[in-house]
Amino acid sequence: MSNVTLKGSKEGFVVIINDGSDFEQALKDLKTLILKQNIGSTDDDVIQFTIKTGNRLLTKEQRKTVKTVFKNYPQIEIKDIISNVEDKQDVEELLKANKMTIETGIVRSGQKLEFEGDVLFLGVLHEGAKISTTGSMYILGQVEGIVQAGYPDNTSAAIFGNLENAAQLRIADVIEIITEDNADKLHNHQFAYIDEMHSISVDDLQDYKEVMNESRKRTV
Amino acid sequence: MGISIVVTSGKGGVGKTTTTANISSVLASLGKKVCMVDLDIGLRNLDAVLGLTNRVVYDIVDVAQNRVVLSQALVRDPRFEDNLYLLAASQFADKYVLDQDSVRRIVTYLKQRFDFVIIDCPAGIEYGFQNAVTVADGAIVVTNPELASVSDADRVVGILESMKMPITPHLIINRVRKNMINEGTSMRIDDIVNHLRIPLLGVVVDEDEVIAASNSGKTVVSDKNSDAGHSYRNIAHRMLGESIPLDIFNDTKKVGFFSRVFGRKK
Repeated sequence: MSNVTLKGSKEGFVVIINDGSDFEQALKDLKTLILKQNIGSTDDDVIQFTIKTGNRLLTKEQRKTVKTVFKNYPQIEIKDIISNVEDKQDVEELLKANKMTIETGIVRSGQKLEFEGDVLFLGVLHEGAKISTTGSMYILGQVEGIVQAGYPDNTSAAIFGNLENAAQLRIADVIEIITEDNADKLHNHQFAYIDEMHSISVDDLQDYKEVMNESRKRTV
Repeated sequence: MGISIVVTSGKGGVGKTTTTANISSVLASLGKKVCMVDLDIGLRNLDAVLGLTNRVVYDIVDVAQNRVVLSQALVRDPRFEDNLYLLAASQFADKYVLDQDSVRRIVTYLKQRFDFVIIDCPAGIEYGFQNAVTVADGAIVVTNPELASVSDADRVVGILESMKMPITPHLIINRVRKNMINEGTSMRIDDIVNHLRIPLLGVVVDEDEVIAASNSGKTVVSDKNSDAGHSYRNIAHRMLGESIPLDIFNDTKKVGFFSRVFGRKK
């Protein structure tokens, strides 16, 4: 198998860099491959390439050199560089951001708990205490303090549960202060999220899917 | 070897010093050897509450700075034979002259000589508080049935729990107004205990006698007719491991059936 292969697929042109090859050699072959295509006529539309590196993970410098090769030809550009493998550290971070943490126990006034990912809170959050996470917050315990989801800027995070006694709800950078006036709409089977006006709204749980689909459409 | 207990609250004016004085004198009258340590440097008043001000010659700062040995600075309370001693706070120095090491040294020494070392902690959660709580084996958190006080107590309990003391913090609810509880205008005892979630050591009513007693340099526990004194005695007994039912008072004077039917409404 040669070091560099050009393929056409449904998604467009794909350049596969053989993961068993020497990178320097593959880079040279890539250049000749591009030259062979006789591109350069300025009339054509820009052609996009996806580069697949198989089981090889390119370092930052290697990605840069690949990109500079393409930069010499204004008619072609890189859509994406994809590898079958992931950096271990990146994977760990990804796992952390996607896991559900279960927290019990009492969070007292002046104490602050910080998490990554989603949190299922079964404990008691006292007045003056704060619980914060990067993902969504699912609350089954009593809360009288500040609940922060989607810290610092994840607007698709939501807060679920009985929140009528909470002091504040915070999602991403939006803060909702709970007063006597709005507390009664925050009883069980509700969830709080960021709506299209970028403020916190509360809805019934049965509407969750619908609301979140809307929200996702906006963020994409 | 005795144990050291810090009496703390977070908020000021809830009755830490009164509690320290009363519990200590009950324990002493029950035959325990007790030493009170006033760590409220600069604002000493434990000696005044006990009527011992005139007897203070040296204070804890003198001991910490090695001007005198510890036994010279201990003030004996003559009413309790050889059972109750006080190590007074300094009126003149500021609180930063005491560091954690010297407080620890003093308390460790006192624990060898006494059954109980009761530490009166300053209000707040800063320097003096840190000094007091790090040397203690256990803590008594004093609170009043009011929101600000309970909220501060919550903060203090959080700090105490993170210190992992050998004895879990216990709660005393002080200055409880009987009439307000009966009228339902005060925070309820149950609610406070459920909120703070630490064991309740006792409930003490707000009484004129408490202030009157400390103004004359006596403790209210010496007054046999005082409800507050009775509560403090119960607290001390509970600290010694006796189980005494909590007298959470719904003693709206029991009204008999006939007087309820025929009696005049108040």
